[in-house]
Amino acid sequence: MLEKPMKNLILISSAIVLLLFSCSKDKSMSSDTGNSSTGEGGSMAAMTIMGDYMYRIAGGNAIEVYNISADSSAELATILNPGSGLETLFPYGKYLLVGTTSGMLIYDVTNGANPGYVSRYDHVVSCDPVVAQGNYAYVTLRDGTRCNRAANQLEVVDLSDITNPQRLTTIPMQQPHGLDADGDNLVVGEGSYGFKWFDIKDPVNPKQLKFENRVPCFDVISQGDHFIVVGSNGLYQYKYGTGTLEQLSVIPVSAN
Amino acid sequence: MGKYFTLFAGIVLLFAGCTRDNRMYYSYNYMGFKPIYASSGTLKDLIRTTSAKPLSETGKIYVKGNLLLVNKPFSGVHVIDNTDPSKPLNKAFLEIPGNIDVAMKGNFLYADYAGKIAVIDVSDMDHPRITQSVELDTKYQQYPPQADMTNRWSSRTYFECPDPAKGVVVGWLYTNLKSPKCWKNQ
Repeated sequence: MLEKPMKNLILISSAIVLLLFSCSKDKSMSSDTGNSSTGEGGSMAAMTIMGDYMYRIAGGNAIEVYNISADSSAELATILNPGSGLETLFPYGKYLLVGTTSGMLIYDVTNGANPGYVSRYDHVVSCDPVVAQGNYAYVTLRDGTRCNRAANQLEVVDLSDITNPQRLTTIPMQQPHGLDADGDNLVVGEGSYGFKWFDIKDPVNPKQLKFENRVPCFDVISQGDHFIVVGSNGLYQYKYGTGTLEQLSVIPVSAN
Repeated sequence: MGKYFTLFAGIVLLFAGCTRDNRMYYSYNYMGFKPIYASSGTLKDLIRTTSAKPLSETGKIYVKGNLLLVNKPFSGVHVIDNTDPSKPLNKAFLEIPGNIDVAMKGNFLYADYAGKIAVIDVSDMDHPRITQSVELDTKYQQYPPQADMTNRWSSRTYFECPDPAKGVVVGWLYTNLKSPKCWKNQ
């Protein structure tokens, strides 16, 4: 049994650690229109804002860095050329995760104008967005016209040593597209096949809770107690329940 | 002298890199890029808010506060008031020709367009105000930027030859092309 002051210290420090990790993604659902607050994109995003800088994948082989400190303008500051097959960008604390057709690249954006290369994670060639939460990244791999000889799977990658990402888990999927990890919930779009909801209380071993095969899902954003799914049938929103999902609303796609 | 040589070499490379094939072939299909046009006009005229459109083709989504933006590929974004997720209100459509990705900071919306970034003040969503105009990239009007990518599968990128008479090229769509007449070698 620890003494009380020691216990408090541990509590406070773990709270701070948790706070730091939770900063990787702003989940606040306020009507905040403050002048510096940024929004949140889905995992398919090829453009993301971190502080005074915006990062954008251009032409699949360059990351453009824009200075947006003036808000009303975007000044091209730097262009990185890390190779081909760049697809998605995800902000992760002070790191920028780049989903590529051959894996994931990690940049340190402490100096926003000049991202520093940290490490890379390689897998078979495929299309793959990436999201991350806590010490773990969730990467989907998918086949498709531009993603040759691919596998269809979800991978859990350990980022605790950011310089050396390690694959921990592989889960076979059908045709995974966008995904989002949020607290205990992970939602993975399966393209035209629907979407899957996983429990990630144990972040290393996602446990599938539901496979909704009637709602095609291209991209997803989770917002705490509910999530938004977009696909060829429309825009669906669900509330997380205990083992079940409650559909809140749908804006259907209509042919026009 | 060196400067002129570089310029000369550049021009030679430009011509060598882009090929228009006028020979007759049997009809064939290739995956390649198709230009998406916006009728000519200045950017200020092209970016505007129109009345809400029903969702048709859906693209990426973006959330800021109670605002939910749903991209319509190469067209713009549906503006949805998501204050109550059980009753989302499709409020308007922000036309941004060529747009695929958006991001927001404060009341400013950053949107890709013709290979560049447009900055739009959306504090009054009904009256979006462009705060950074976009100059058109001449290269983007000629061939898809993907043609400059190092491609491990093929050194040649096919595309449909752009026709300036159809307007400004605001996007390049990867699709199946029937007998494309244009390509670019790396």
